[in-house]
Parts: sequence; structure tokens; C-alpha cells
Amino acid sequence: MEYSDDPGLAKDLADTFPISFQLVRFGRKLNSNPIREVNIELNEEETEALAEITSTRTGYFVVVLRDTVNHTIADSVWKPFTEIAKQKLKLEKKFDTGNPRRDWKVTAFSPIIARTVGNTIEITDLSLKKDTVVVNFANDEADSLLDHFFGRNDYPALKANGLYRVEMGVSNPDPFFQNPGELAMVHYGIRKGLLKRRRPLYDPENDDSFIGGVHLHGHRSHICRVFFDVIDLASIFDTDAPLNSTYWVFPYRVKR
Amino acid sequence: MSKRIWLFMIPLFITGVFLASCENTTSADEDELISILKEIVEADSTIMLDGLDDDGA
Repeated sequence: MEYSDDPGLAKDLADTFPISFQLVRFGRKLNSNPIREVNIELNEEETEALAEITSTRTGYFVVVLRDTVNHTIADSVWKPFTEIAKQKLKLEKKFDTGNPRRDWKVTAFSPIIARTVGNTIEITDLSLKKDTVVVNFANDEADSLLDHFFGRNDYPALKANGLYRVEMGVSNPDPFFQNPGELAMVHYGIRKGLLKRRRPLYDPENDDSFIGGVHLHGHRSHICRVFFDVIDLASIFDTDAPLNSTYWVFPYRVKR
Repeated sequence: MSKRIWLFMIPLFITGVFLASCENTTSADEDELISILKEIVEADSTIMLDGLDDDGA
């Protein structure tokens, strides 16, 4: 397989793996669009509703070993994976015209949590700080992070061109034997569907506490997204190991 | 005696049919509302999952 001849894969490789390893690269190649299911719970008065969205994606996690002398692929492995992402939204009946499409509005939404099926690795907590803490999230086995809601106008506001410190806690009960046994990254962008920046996070003490810096962009936009992801290195370096990864996504806006 | 029973049963039956039809109507309305809310959710731009597999962040 020549991944350079496969634009989809090359793109995903670039998206997923910005660190310039010389010999090994990896990425996700998706089979199709996600399958999305929406579950709605209405309150008794039928004035508020809670939606839970479950998106399932399937594909292959591709790892290639490069021959840097001959500029070819020396070896590769394709691992099938299924990934499930969850998000909750709040809806409210704002008007009473008799037309529900006009009356109901999405008023708040939670972060997204995505995991590969069968994963064991988890993000436990996350903070983003400049002079003060701007974002501070934690999660538990009940996925209580999905009960944190951002209003339409109150999601985190980050300073344009600001330098932010990221701290991310990870739980990985059976890590790859390297130190650390995980690769953690932060991805962020100008707006949905356009640009991204990627920064690796580091675990200097090998205690599953990853730290790093994010230099924010200066573009003003309605809504931007930031992704924090972590992958067990066995996914890459053990041929028989499945893809074991998770990520969190939440929105932010940029202020001057 | 049997006439009295029929006089009692017929209104009961009619009332039962009426209540059952009322319940069905409510359920159908709720189903329709839920269906519309799903449309609203799927169309809303705050569903940030779109673009995870493209050039977006």
C-alpha cells in the first residue's frame, strides 16, 4: 500500500499524526459517514427535552513502516475499529406558534466523548489555563461530563494569540511498556471544517499527567472546536493490539 | 337482570373506546413531536461531530 497514492489516508495521517516520526506513521481511514442515533426525552409539560446523540464510525487504523532509503512502505497493518461518540443537547420550547419546528430551539450542548469499542484508556480530567483557569473538566464512569452544558453564548472564551497551558489526566490500566505508554495530543482550529493546529502533550513524570502548551490563533469566529485525544501506543507498535483510544471535544470562541 | 347489565355495560364500553382513542391521539402527537425534535437536533450546527474525519480540527 502506498499511502501517498491514497489521498484519503494521507489526509487522515496528516490529521492524526503530526509528529514527524521517521519510520512509523499512522492514521484512521473511515469506511463511511457516521451512523447517528438521537434519543429524545421530553419533560411532562413538553416544554423541555434532552437529546442524546450517539455517532458510530467504523474504519481501519492504519500503521505503516516507512523505508526511508527507498522511499517506499516497508510494511503496514490495517486494524478494523469502531468508534462511538456521545453528546447531549438541551432543547426548549421558546414559542407557542403551534409549529414545533419554529417553537423549539437547541439551547445548550455538552462536550463530546468518543471512544473506540473495547477501549481501556480514558481521559479523567482536563484543564486549560492562562492567567486563570478557563476550562476545568473531569469525568467518571457514569460519563458525568456529558451533563455539563454550554449555553449558546457561554462556552469558553479564549484570548486571541494567547498562550494556554494544558493539563490532562489519563487512566490507562494496561499501558504499552514504553514510558509513557500513551500518546496525547491537542487539536484545535479556526472554525469547523477549516484548519487545525496540533500540539503533542508530554508526560515527563510518566504518571499519566500530560502537560503542554497551546498557542491560540487570532482569527475571530463564531465557534471553534478543540480536541484532546490519547491513544495507547500498543495500538501502533503491537500488531495484534486493537486501536485503544479516546478523545474529548468541546467548543470555544476567540476574543480579542 | 340481564337488561340492567347491558344498560351498565354499553356506556362503559363507549367511555372505554373514547378514552382509548384519546390516549392514542396523545401518543401520536408526542411521537410526532419527538420526530421533529430529532430533525432539529440533527440539523443543528452545534453537533460538533461533523468534520472529525475531514480537514476540520
